Amino acid sequence: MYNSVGKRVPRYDGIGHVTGRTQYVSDVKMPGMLVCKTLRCPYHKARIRSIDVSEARTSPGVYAVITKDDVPHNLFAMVPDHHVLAEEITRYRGQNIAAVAAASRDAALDALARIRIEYEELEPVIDPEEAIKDGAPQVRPEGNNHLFDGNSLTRRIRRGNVEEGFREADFIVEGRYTTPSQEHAPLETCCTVAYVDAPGRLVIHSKAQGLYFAQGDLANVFQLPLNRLKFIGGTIGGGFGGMNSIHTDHIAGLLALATGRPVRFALTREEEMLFSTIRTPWIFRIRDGIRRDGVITARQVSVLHDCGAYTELGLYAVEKNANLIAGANLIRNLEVDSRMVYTNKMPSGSMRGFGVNVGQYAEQVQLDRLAHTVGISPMEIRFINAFHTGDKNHTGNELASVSTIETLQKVAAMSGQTLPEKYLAWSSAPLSPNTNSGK
Amino acid sequence: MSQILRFHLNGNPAEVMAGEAETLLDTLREGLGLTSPKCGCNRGDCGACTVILNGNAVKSCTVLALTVEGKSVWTVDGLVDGERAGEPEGGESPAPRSLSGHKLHPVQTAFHEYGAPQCGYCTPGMVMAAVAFLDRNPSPTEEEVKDALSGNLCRCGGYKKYVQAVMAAARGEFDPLPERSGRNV
Amino acid sequence: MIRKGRGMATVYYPTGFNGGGDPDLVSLRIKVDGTIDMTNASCEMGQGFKSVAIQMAAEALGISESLITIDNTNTDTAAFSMDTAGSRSTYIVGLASISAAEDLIRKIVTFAAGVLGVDASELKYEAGKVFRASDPDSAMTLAQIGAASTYGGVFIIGVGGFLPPPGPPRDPETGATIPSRSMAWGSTVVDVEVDDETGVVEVVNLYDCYDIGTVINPLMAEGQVDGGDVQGVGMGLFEDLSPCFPKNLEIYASNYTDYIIPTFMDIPRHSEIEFIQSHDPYGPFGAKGCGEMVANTQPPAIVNAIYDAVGVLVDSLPATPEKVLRLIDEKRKTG
Repeated sequence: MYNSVGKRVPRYDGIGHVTGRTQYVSDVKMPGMLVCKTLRCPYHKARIRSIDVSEARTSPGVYAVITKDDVPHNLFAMVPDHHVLAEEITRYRGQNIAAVAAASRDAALDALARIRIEYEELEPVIDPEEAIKDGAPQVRPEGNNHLFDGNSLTRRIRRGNVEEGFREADFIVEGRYTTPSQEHAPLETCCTVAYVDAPGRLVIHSKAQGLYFAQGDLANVFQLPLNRLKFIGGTIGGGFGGMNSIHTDHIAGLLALATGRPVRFALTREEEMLFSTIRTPWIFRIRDGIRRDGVITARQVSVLHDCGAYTELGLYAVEKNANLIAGANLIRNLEVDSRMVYTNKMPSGSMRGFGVNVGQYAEQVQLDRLAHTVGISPMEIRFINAFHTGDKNHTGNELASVSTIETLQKVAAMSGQTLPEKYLAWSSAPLSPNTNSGK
Repeated sequence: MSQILRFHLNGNPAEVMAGEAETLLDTLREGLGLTSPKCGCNRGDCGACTVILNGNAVKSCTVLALTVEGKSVWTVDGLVDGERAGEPEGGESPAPRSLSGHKLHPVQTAFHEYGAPQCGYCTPGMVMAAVAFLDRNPSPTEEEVKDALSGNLCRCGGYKKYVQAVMAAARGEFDPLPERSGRNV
Repeated sequence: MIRKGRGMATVYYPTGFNGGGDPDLVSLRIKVDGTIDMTNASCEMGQGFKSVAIQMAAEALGISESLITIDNTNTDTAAFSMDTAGSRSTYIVGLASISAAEDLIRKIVTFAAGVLGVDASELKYEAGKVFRASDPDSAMTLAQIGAASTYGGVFIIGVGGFLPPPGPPRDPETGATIPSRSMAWGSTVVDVEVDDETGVVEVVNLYDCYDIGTVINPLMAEGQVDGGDVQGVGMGLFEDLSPCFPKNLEIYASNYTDYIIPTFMDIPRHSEIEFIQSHDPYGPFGAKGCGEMVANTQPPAIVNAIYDAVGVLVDSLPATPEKVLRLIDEKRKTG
């Protein structure tokens, strides 16, 4: 039916990969290129009492030293609340405070050592369950709790009537699940080479997953019109969502503007692990009502997302998580209450599956608990509660092209499981009242 | 203190200034401008910088440059350009060619045809680790391949196809494995 | 003692940004020799974007993918892309490519009508040729059109875009909205071996069945799933930056020694992938998003398999040997 679609065409740039000819940002070299290193806050939270970069500026081989005062607009990110260089109060360990461009790595590190800075260490809050409490140390002036729609501590989903659903249940099952901090850990660390070109435009070789996204964000930081700012990239040594956040482009760009020379800012593996955005922790509590026949009659979910110190993509992850947390099951009576709290750690970036896979871990483990409780197989509970084409999901999304049942049938066959006849006969076609479980 | 380092790089004599604390990876990338060995961790964890040193796959970030004096180093560049194992021939063969028109090493061909590399950043190191391994063990089992390559990380997770591709290269699915000419000097 | 267990998980995943509203643009420019330059600034990070984008443009133009190159390299020349995220590129760039191809074909036909001195309505475009419907031998090839237009001072460039319709604003009380019109589906079964003396878990078999609609390039899709399996194993068993969280962040991984990502030795001993080839009513050629979902089923399936093997429920990821062993000990003590 198709000519090109469906073909096993080898990778377009595969020859470059296997011959080592593919050029990544970290391979870009320019004549006279300077090296950037940054001064990072050693505390989870601190007040910068004073900072003096004058000696660093005169250090041998140094071309520029910048602090927050040198940033035209010191806020960036998808939700632009992240500081390019720290303001008076730092919010997480490793936050960038000052940046140096120098002729060599050693000269840059020497200059960092010559920055005179006086900190007052402040009490941080790391645990999200502590951070939501009244009187917890404040991560940001607006408070630790994100207010959804400007006024609500929780982001809600309401469907049906959970009290009725629980009354209808034969069993009530509760679970608490947590997921940890994860790092994207692409083999190529974050890297930027920035320079000013002949017509005076700022050009940035970037690892960004969204070149235009980064361009729009940083045009604001640099206060440049879009036609004075060019992003080059599009082939990167791994992203996994991490390169939806800006880690080096902003600072390298500022230093290129400050020096008029090419500047390279590459994170070491250690910096990337310790200080870049991460998949931040989540805590889920799920309370389910289930009938003896395996039908889930009610579900209550409470979610706490530890967003870290700045919003970055955390809010987006909460939205996506809430929409999908009830899983690929038709649940008629549902309450979801999600909260997002700020803590003194690296901000929540996006990471493959973000918001969704953490919730699906909790939901799918809980589902097996339900199966064990009523004494049916994990396979059966998934058949019984599966969505069908035409069903509305938990946010009222009418589902087209549904195939939970088909994937279950196939994966059972692949793994050598024999399904009961009735499940083999089921399909995801729209339910009529007489088919399947008749739920 | 820098001094002159002389060694054989991809079959040709190379001469470059290198510092006492400089790694072979830095010398190759910075001193000699070869960007195929990649830096992923700079501490021997990831294998993106793997090169063949006197016939053995080594992580060039863990080798001090000055210790390779007089020795033979091969990078992925040498598989097609330096060694020129496969000169361009009549345009009949559908086999993939290097950008310079040369036949690829069977490991490279297999990696490409099996879709093993994803982002590609681990690939040059993976090629060299696989070539050095097949030089030593041309008819391996899958378990031996996994074991031999286990020092090379691929965060995209392309391991399965890498194993399949090395097995395909070993059984001569594309071209017979060449003699380990040169790379073992 | 080694104990065997089997577990499973079923998920679904939206294609594109949450709530839609994330556009992409594509341009297709015909060159003098009839080859095509495609542009779109999505990022190639290993998922196979470039290959898949070219295949979809080739399909829409009815020509070989070898005639098409793609420029995604910079914000001066590559058409706008909102981002490379949210399992969106195949779907949205695909639909934008179809729209750009239709525009290119329209412009080619109009140009050919001028050259041939006929009305455009008399012409048909098929597989890289424009011809009079009544006389298939009257064809102009793309190469002829490329030369005649360029040297005739006519710039032929097909442009198109796609915007996933924005969902209604989320109802603050009920959460009602439309996150995505297109959903991908999948189920995974894993077999594990748990050493109940060390707590070490090994994934033995892994079976994935995913519905990502039409599979544009099976080689690239398999790569995505293989990678998902590996990253899923990492999330399920190994990856934790700060194992003492939330008590403190002082013990924190800073390298690949402390932050354990899977190696060759950690992949399932045996794995199989099947795609259910459904047809998404909205997606390009029936395709849905693939990238993220295929890394979601493994962690819960592994945890469920551990329960099947040794009867303990790991309710905090990852299922490290220490955690598994502590739970086994606890279970023994409480009988």
